[in-house]
Amino acid sequence: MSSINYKFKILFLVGLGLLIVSLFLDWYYFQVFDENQELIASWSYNPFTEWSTSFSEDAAFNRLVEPSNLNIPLVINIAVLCCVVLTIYGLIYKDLEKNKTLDKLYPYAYINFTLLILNAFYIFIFPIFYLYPNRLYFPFLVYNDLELNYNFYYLIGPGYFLQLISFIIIFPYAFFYYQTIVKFETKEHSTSKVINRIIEKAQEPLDFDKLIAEESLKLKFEGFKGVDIIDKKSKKVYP
Amino acid sequence: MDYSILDSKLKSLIQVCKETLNYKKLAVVSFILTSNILDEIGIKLGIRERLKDSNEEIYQYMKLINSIMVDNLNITLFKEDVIRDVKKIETTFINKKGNIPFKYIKEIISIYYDLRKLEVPNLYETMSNDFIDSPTNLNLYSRLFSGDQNKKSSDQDFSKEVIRQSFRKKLWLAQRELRNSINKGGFNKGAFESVLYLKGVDNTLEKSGKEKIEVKGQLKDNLSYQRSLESIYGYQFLGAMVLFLMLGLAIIVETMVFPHLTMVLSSLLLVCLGASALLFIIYYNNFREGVK
Repeated sequence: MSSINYKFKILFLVGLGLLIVSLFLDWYYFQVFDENQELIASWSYNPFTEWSTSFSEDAAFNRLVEPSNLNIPLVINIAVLCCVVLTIYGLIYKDLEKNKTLDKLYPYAYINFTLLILNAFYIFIFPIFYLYPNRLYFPFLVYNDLELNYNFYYLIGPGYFLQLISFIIIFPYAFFYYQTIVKFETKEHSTSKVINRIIEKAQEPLDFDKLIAEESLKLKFEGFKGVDIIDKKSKKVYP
Repeated sequence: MDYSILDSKLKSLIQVCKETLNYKKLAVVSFILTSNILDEIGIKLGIRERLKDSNEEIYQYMKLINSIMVDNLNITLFKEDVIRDVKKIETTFINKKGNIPFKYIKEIISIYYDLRKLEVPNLYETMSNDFIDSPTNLNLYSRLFSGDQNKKSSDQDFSKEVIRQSFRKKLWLAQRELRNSINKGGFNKGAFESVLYLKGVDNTLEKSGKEKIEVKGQLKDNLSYQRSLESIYGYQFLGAMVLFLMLGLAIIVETMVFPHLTMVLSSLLLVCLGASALLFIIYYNNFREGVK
């Protein structure tokens, strides 16, 4: 395996790992500190578990500032996980360089691309469609409420950071994989078999056993001597 | 193909035909064998089979193969005197409806065995990996063709031409070796394989990036693939550019949704769009050619 391909393949695997991990980490933090810099409200967002807090149910202010659910469709998270699993399978068992039938790798190229699009979806769509409508700022902001003298912290979390990093890491190989499949095509592995079939079809059939038997018969029965009984199929060439 | 069974059966047929004095049958068989081996040679070289229904004669088909080989590879596969002999025997055979002298039968069988010795390589089969000089050379080629060395397209064209010249020189040497072997009455199968392979490489290098490149065997052994490998570095820049662009666009949308944040976000927006533009310029100047 060429070293360049190997390096980026490993990077790609790392990127996929980060992508999976990112789904289970917090993507967004919303915290409030009072005038004494004491934490009085804290919410963190995860695409699977939605908003969660470290405060108890009794913390009234914390409950008061709870952001509304973002409702990112669960099916997208599942689709990402499925794509990651299929991509890892393709990466391990369907090696781009060693495969002799590139056409069969098309589905994996599209899966890689889909994964990339889903990754981009999280990065681009998450703030626009889910954060802004809920008055959550991106990527980070400290807002000082002069009336309450509270500091409101809005910050993207490690999960979203990992999404950004994994996008940079998986993009080159996913794109290269797709580009290679589109650019190259392997001749069918069975080409030589096909060629042999064509040769066989083109050649005139010769049944030596039959020809020898005919001549032997002539020897045995003098009456047949001189009669030409070549296979009719051959007569189209040499009548 | 295992010819031993065919040879022993042919031997038996010759013996029995000599006893029955049926030389016509022997003549027909020897012509069929010659025709078959020529069809095999032609098809392996990517040429159509002999048009039997259109009464294309064997010597005409041999001439056709020769002309195609000369046009494409500058090689004469069948000697002129062999074609002349075939023409003489074939014409007699057709005129006398198969009743040709025994010495002609001996001659055509001898020609058949000479043709069999040619062992023409199959144009469609995978080329031996050993032929590619060494990975070092491939890396050199791929470096020359990749765009990561701040080369302008004219430099790349020059590099490409240098490599093509190198391949053409090799091709010329292989052709000469093959011609020499044919002139000496032998046939160098290895040289023939080299000629076919180098011709294929030369054609691949000539192709523009938009065409699909056919690969025989594994991708890792293909020169064009090796050449395109370094474009992956370009995709790294492209990916980073797309990422910064997406972040920049997300911030632009944010400033539209929350206009009072415009001042706060302006520096971040500048960083994102600036980085995106910079990465695009780097990609465009250094890797765009490598993608082809």
